[in-house]
Amino acid sequence: MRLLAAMGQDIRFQFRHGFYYAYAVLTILYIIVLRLLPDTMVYPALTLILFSDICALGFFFIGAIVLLERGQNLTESLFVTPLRLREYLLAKILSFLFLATLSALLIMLGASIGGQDLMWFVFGAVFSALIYTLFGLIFAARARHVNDYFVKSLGAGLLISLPILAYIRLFDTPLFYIFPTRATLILLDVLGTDYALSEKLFSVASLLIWFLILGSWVYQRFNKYVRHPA
Amino acid sequence: MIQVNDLHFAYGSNTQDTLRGLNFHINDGEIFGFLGPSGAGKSTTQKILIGILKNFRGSVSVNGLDLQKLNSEFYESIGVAFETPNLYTKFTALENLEFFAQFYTGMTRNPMELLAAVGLEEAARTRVSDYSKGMKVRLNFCRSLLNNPRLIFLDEPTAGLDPVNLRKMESLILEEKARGNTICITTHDMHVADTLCDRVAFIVDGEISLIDAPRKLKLQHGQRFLELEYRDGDKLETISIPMDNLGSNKTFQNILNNYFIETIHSREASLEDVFVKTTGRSLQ
Amino acid sequence: MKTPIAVLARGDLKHVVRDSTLVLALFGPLAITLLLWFLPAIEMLIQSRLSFDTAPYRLFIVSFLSLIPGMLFAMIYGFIILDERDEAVIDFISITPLRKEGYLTYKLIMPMLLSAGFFLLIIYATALIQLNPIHAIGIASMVALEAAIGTLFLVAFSENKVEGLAFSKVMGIMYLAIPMVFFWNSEWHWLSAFLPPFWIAKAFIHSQTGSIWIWGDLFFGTAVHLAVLLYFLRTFLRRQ
Repeated sequence: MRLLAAMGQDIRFQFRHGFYYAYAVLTILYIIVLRLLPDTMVYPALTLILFSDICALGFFFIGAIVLLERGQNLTESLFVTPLRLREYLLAKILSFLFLATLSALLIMLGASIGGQDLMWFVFGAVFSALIYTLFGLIFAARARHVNDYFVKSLGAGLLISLPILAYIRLFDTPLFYIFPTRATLILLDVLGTDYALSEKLFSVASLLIWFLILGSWVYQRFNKYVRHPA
Repeated sequence: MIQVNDLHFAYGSNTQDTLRGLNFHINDGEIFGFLGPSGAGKSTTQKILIGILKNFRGSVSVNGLDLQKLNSEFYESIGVAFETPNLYTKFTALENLEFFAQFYTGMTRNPMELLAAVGLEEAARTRVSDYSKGMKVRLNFCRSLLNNPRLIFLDEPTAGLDPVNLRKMESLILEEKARGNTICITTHDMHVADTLCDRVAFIVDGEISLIDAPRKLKLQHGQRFLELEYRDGDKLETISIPMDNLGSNKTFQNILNNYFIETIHSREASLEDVFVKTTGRSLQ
Repeated sequence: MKTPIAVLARGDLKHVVRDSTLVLALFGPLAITLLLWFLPAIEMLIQSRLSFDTAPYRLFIVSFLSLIPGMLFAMIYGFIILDERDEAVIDFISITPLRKEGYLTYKLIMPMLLSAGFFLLIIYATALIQLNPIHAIGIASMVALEAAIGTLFLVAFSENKVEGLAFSKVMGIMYLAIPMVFFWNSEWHWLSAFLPPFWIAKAFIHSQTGSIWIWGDLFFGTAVHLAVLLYFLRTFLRRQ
């Protein structure tokens, strides 16, 4: 109940700040681009668009929203209500996953892309957005200014996105399998490429483990710097 | 209601304590005021009492609950208005209150009635970004009352209010006391402390120098004299007369009977005088 | 007597030292410069690994990437302005001798100089394409104007930093004009002529073919840039 209330507010907050309009414009634009592309390029383009733009945005958006709430001392007043930190964080994350997943599915539908591996794909889109969002929150817990936050989170974002080099077959190393992004790139790519079941299962497991690690890290940082700042 | 023993607190890596051994208790149903200049440790104390600052030394119990072991249940029954009004600026006053009300499991008060009580009913559907400072302070106060709190913390509740709204705010705070609620106020405004608080604590440099009822303090530190201003022909005369055995004081009777009196005052100390006298500091 | 600009610049410098944001932000454009420096090597790598010849796309890559620093600086300065507006610094400055106009001039000149500087650095330090110095200066001034346009776009339409973020997302769309000019083999690509980068892409292409049209690109391009700039400027000033 408290979670739903917080999530509803976050969605309305994002709506009033124009995020849904921005995403609508982008979604339509990407659908047009995908429809104009030759068939062989549609699937890789879809993977790259979702990976780089739709999902990775969580980095920017959620983190910046938290920064703004901190700047206006809103977190202070939220945490003197029964709302728990866990619920606060989940509301932020779920509200953004809703937007990112909605946009990803609309792009897919609009570009008439589909396939039997859809479940894997959706899992990949959701978790891709999730992982980036968590990374963003880690930095948002302490950054003082939006620019400060951008620069630091962008640096970290580029770093964890390195497996994209393997995806475009420029450079590969087994080390990439440690990265959560290697897994999301596999799952986002299942519609156009055949992957072994083991590879898909590995990706899901990797993402779940990363979710647990990053999730508890975010919780601890928020508990220390936002919930009980001293 | 609140019992605090030997409370120490230091911020972050500061080696020096911001709070240096506070001892006080707040009774059920009273209005307790922390009075002191900015930076004295008032807000820090309040942040500890509401569970925001954790790593303190000493013992603090609120409602019989040890604050070191607090859970979110605690927040069902307290209300807090921070010094800086923190509200969603792109949302209306009503939307803000309705949003915060959803977090409580118990009965919440009707947001519209709360807004009406502080004179904001006309502006209920106005976005907070279009509010003036004083309007935000009033809305912030409404939010702290949403959940029918038994214990209310108000940080500088009258900052930025015009005289009319100041009066209104004071009577609302007294109304909460009449309901049997306990209220903890921090302020540097002597007038507020004087008219509202049952007891005040003077706090300077992280230490409490004195706790007592404002009236008692004023009498204790004042002089038992009456000060009269009266007209003698064209001249304005001032005279001080001891208050003891006033009825049989000849000078006093003479003036009462034969002169035109302009003012009469007793010379009890103002709360500000007491503060300066006991702490050696001014309130600014 | 300190000039107001010097005071502001010092304020920004403090900002930089305190947050190290702008210093870190310089890494973005520097990374792009480096990337382009190694472009020939990367092209060879792609050629051997993927047997895909990127040479025909070199002009596109250069024109696209050389505009990115401008976008980054526009965002950085846009968010500094939004930050200062949230903290009412602008209200304070507007009652000093500097006035709001002076403040804005300064906050626009910085991204303009930085982006034009990086543009010239990228073109001449990497020497990936030959560009006549006069053409280069013409394009660089459009790049500078574009950074100002980006900065103003962020601050003219958004109320606060979060809204600025949504707008920064939309701002990126402007740069779609470049692939349109390069790859859309239809007269319909003129539809994007109202987007400032359209003219920069055109100028790049004509500068390489030695076409006389380069002068048209520079003239109309500057005019489009100025028109958009003035429109955003008016919106911004009316908003304050």
